[in-house]
Order: sequence, then C-alpha cells, then structure tokens
Amino acid sequence: MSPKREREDGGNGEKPQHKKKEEVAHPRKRFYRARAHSNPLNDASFDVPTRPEDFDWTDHFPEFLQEWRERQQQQQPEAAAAPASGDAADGSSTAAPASTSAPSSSSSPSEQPLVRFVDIGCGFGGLLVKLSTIYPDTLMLGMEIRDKVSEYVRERIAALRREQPGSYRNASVMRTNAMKYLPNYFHKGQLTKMFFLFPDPHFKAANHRRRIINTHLLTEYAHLLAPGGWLYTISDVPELGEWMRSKLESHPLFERVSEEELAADPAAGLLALSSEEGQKVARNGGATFRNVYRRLAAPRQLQQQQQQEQEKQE
Amino acid sequence: MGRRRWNKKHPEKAAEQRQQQLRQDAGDPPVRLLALQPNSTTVAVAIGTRLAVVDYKTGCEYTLSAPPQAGQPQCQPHAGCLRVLLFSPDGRCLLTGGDDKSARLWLAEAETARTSEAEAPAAGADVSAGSATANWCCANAWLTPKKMSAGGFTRDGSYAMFADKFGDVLIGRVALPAPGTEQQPEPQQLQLQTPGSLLGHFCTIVTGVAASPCGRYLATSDKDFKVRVSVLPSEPLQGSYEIQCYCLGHQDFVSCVAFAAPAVRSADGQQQQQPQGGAVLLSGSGDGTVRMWDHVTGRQLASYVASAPAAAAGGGAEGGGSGGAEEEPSGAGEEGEEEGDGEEEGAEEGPAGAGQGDADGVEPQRRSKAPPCASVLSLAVSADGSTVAVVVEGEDEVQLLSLDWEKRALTLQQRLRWPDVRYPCQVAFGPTGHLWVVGGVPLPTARSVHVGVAQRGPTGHFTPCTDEVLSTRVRSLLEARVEEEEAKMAEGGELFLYSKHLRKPVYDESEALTRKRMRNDHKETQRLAALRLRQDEKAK
Repeated sequence: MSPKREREDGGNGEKPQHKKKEEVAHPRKRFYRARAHSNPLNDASFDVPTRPEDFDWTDHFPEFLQEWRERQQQQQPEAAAAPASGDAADGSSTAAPASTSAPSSSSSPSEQPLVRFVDIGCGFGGLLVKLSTIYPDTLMLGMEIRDKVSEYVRERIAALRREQPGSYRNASVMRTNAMKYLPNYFHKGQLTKMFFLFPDPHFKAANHRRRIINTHLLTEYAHLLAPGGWLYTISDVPELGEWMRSKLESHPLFERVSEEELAADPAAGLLALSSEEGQKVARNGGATFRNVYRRLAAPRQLQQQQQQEQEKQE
Repeated sequence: MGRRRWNKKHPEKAAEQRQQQLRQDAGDPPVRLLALQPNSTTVAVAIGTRLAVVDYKTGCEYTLSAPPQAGQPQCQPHAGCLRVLLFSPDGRCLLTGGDDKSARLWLAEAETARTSEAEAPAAGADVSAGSATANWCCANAWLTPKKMSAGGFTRDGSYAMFADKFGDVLIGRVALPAPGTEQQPEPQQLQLQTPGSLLGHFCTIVTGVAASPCGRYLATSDKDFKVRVSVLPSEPLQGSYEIQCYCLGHQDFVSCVAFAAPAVRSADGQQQQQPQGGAVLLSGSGDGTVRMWDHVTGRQLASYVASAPAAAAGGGAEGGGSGGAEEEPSGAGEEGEEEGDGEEEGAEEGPAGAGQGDADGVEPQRRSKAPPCASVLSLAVSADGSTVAVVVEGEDEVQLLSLDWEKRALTLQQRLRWPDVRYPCQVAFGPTGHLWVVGGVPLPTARSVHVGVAQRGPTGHFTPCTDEVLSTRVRSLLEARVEEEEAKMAEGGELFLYSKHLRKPVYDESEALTRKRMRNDHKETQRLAALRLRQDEKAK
C-alpha cells in the first residue's frame, strides 16, 4: 500500500507521473471483475430480436456501416468504385487501404456487410482486439453472458476506436446467452469463423449438458457456419479438450483441419495467447489443447471413421 | 449445521418448509388428451393418469394393461400424468407417455377384439349389447431421462419420437410383431429400452414434434419462441445433425405445430395440379397467432390472429375469471409494446430501465415482446388440408379457419361452440371427417373431461353432433364429469393454467421476498450484520 501512496502523492520525481484517476482513458479491469461462472441455463430476460433481419447492427458498427452506405451511394451513380478517401471522416491512411480492398471483400456490393466472425464467451476481449487488426474488413462480434465483463469489452473497444481512428471499427461485443439465442442473430451459413476459447469445463457429469461443445449445439453451429467455415476451440483442461475433440469428431458435418493449414492461418496462432485466459494459462505453465474443425458442405460417413479407429486400436 | 441435522433438530420448521416446497413444485396441471385411430373408429381420451380407449362404433372398450414391472401390479397404464397420446400414422399402435418418465407403445390390434370374443365369450365379453372388452398389450417401452412433453411419429410409422422439458428429442424404433401373427403371451417383464438421441433444443421445453408429409423433415417447437425444421436422416437413430431452417417470427412460446398438405385429387384420371410448394407448416403460439410457414426456407407465409391481446396497456384485470398469467404488473404492458431493437446495453441497469418507466423496478418482467393475451393451445388440420381447427385457452369456442392454398392465407370460417364441452383443450380431425374436441375445467386437481364431436355439413359448416356419434354408454366410458369442479371454476379459477408453465414466472414483490427468505445465504448475511453491529456496540 505504501509504495502506491507515495506514487499518488507524487513523491520523488524519479518515478513517472501517473495520470489522475479521471483521465485514465481505458477502463480499469478491477472495476469490472465478476465471478467466472454464469449459469447459461437461466431463463433470463435478454432482449433478443425475433429474427436476424429485425436486428439493427448500426449500434454496433456505426462507422463501418456508414462508410459502406456512402460507398454504395457513390457506386450507384458512377460505375467505377470511387476512392472514397474523401468520404472517410478520419484517418485517411488507414481508411484508404480498407476502402480499396473492401469492394473485393466477401459481401457483394448490394448486400449489407454481415458479421462473419463470432467469439463465443469472449471474456475481456483479448482475441477480438487482436483479430480486429488482422482482418480489418470483416465484421466480428464477441458474445459474453456476464454483464460486467461485456461492459468492460464495450468500453475497451470504444477507447481503442477513439485512440486509433479508423481501426477497431469492425469489432463489437454483445451481452447475450449464445447457447440459446444464436439463431436469432445470424442467418443460416452467415458465419465463417467461430471461436470458443477456454470454455467452462463443467466437470460434474450432471453439468455436461452445459458444455458449450456438445452434439446438439454442434448441429446449431453447423447451421450457422458457412460450408468451409472453421470452428476453433482451445482449452487447458485435458478432459475437456478430449471431450470437444470427440464430439466434433463424431459429428458428420465437421472435419478436422490439418496442422499445415493451421500453421498458415493467422487466427489459429492467436488462440493460445491472445485472450486473458490464455495468458493466465501460459503464466502458470499449463498445456493447451487446440482443436480446429472445418464445416463440411455434405455430411461425411461416420462408420468408416469408427472402423478406422477400431482398426487402429487393434 | 448441515441441512439434515437442522431438519432433525427443528422438525416442525422442516415440515413447514417441505410443505412450501411441495406447493411450489406441484408439477404441471393434468392435461386432457385426444387421439383418433386413423383407419378405424377408435378414440382415446386421457386426463391425468386415466386413459379410456373405446371404439365408438362397436362400443368395444380396450384396456391397456402394462405387464407388471418388478412385481408391482399396475392398474393404470402409466403411473404419472399422461402428456402424450398419439396413434401412429398407419394406426397400428398407440404412443403414450407422461410424467412417470416412460414412453410406451401399445399394439392397437382390432383383431384381438374378435379373437377374444371367439375364444372366451364368458370372460366378461358382453356380446348382447354389442359391447366387448379387449386388451392391448404393450409392445415397446422406453425409459426417458426426463418427463415427456411432446411426441410424434415419422411418416412411415417406423420410429417414435418423444421430447422432454429439457429440450431433448429422443427417438426409438417401433418394433411391432407382424400383423396376423398369433398373439404370444407377453413376457412378464417388458424390457425398458433406452431411446437414442435425435436432436436437442438448448434447455427449453419442447412443445411439439411433427414429421413432414414428404418424410424428410421434422418440425419441433419450443418455449423459446422458435420453430425448428431439421432434416431427418435415413438412419434417424444416429441423430439428426442438419438443420434445414428456423421459422422465426412468433413473439411468445410456440405451443403446437402441425403440417398441412393439400389434397391430391385425381379427378377423371387427371391429377389435380398441386399448388406450388406442397405442404406447409402451421404453428400456434402464446402470442395468440397461428402462423403458416414454408418449412423448406423458413419464410412466414401467413399469420392469423386468433386472440387479441388484452386491452389497454397498463390495463388492469378483466373480469373475475381471468387470473394468473393475464394479470401482469402494469409496467409489463408498456414494455411489451416496445419493439426490441437490439437494446441489449444491460437492460437491467439504470439508464435503460429508467427510460422504460419505473413501475417495474429493476428488471424487465417479460421477455416476450407481445402484450399478454390468451394463447393458442392446440391446432388440428383436416385430412384434405382445407380446414384448420384452433383452440384458444380460456375460450369455449373453437375457431375453424379455412386454408386457401392458392393465396396461402388463413381466414376465419366459423366459431364453433359445443353445448356441453367447456374450456376445450385439444382438437383432432377423425378419419371420417368428424371434428373431435376434449375439454374440461382447467383446475390443477381436475379429473373431469368433456368430449364433443362435430360434423361438416354440405355447405362446409360444422355442427355439433355428439349424441349422434357417441352412444350414451360410450360417452360415459370416455367422459368423466365432476360437478364440484364446475362450481369451483365458477368461483374463480385460473383461466390460463395450461400455458402457465410455458411462460416465464413472474413474482410480485412479496412473493419474491418470500423466495429470498428461503435462501440460506441471506440469513447468513443478516446474522453477520447483526453480529458486527453487536461487536461495534460493545466496542463503544
């Protein structure tokens, strides 16, 4: 306590001056601490849209969608895509490369850009923030059930957007129960990547149904992922890693991604260390178990796989 | 001190707490169920644990005797309230299931009536009055992990599916002896099989299971306002892993689903041109609407408002009959009208809550966006796909809608009321084109069930004809009328009892406080606060 008091009194000028409390621009994590577990089976009153079409994403991505709309209006009178740098309100340096590469992004010119990456249980937002700069043209959303923690992520993204104008416009967070309400927010085949970083292990056998990767929920995730989309999971609990692997392996619509492809994928490299939970695991020297699967366009034959496994055992 | 030790030390308080617990977990009220055999004139009616199966033409009564389990004699086919009663599409078997966590399949052999008559005329078979009794034996039984809430068959009748209150839809193979074989004496112990897992909604009550006419899709509805259409694979026991679409649009829990297929009439050898798309999916919900969907794309085709929401936002109670779910706190009505436009910024927190009005306190009371209204309990589609019967909770009239296949619209054709059936609960169309209804007073301890039949006249208008179809004896077998219940209901019973368990429970202030008082941690907090107070005073 006393070293801190000395710092606050502005003691000797050797230590750097810390800003006053009111001027700290980033949210301070200690005010947003919450217990790690929130029961996903609770029938809580989340305000959920009836259909994906009814949801207005402008609250989440105001500048991104504004830019896109202006680009649409420009493209309609003129055939060629305008540089749009004149439209960009702030930060032309970061806006220009974004705008020139945007027309070639996944969404066709007439469609509104949709959320493509989802981080389920995003915690304090570490992965989102890193992914946002790597994929600046893709809208990504974090979903968190805990109230305080999702507030923290919202404040963090707002602070980052102010600090670096033009960046972090494609990331946002939402407080909702992802196990129940995903189909209300996303269309069929809308997502291209889903992230499940260090999910709650729910060790008791009676609570296994609350695990976020289980056969029934995998069917829902397969419905939301576009064919070819990837589902990333990582855990530091060996039993949970094995469970997730076996559930994914026994679902006919998922296929394991090879290690070579994983090495080439920027998102896969982020799994272990980007989130706060991952950093904690690394600090404690724990091992992580990564399972990344691809959503297939057509179901694969499961019996062959089981036969192969039996042959391997024999 | 642990709970057991505390209970021993304070037996009276423990008994009182247990009483309170029992009252709260009384379980769902019994429902009245109706099922009609597709290829003959047998009707099954159930209330609670009582089940009556009668062939109304011949007067033959069928008894369902379960082989004794573990040496215990059973007089009722099920030990718990029945929740699912359903004949298979080919009429060969009857599926029953309920609160005793078992699903049973009874072999519905009409031939057994004749054989039993021929073999043992003295064994209680009263041939003179044209009535007989016959026995249906249990062909398959499954043990379900949770209580059943809905059931269905695949189109070819080869699999039976049952759903429970936790969102799992389980599937079992129907294994019946081939028709015509001599009925063997049943083994003493019928083995309870474990059903396979077909699909799952996440932690929500599944209220309806329906297979599409083409046999490729399965529609399931749940309490979370969703209707999901899944692809039924060729090997259903392995599970259904592909979702076709979600039919989203309802503003409150979905209570029933049914497929409707247009009749394919081949007049003069030429097949009638089928309207574009073929079958449609119908669903009824707690928001008072019946919606028609295209089950392949999930698009809503039509919506019919069966019951309008209660008048006036913030409006108070209506007449003495309404109670329970309809008397929401006044703030809820205002909230209900607000459109959910993605305002998820901690809706329970201060700023948003203040905007919605301070009447409701901190947390929004109802998640559904529709203002409270009477819910659609059950719907049934006629065999030719032209008429849909809709039951609205709390009303005595059954609404008959005509389904226009060309325009894909639902329009009200008639409101039908039976003189002796009150509070209809379920409707079904019979193979002969009659419309059947069961109803009764919605009390938690109800034992009465009323049955009514209506037939379609030449103009398409339905008229009640219960007395012509059911003889007095048959009627007495099926029905059970209890006079006290009617009186109790008139005093002021809860009108919306059936749908109560499908809505999120709402507690007013005093109830919430009572519930909180039962929690142990609050007591501990209070104790510590008092202790600290005492310590502070001592220190002074």
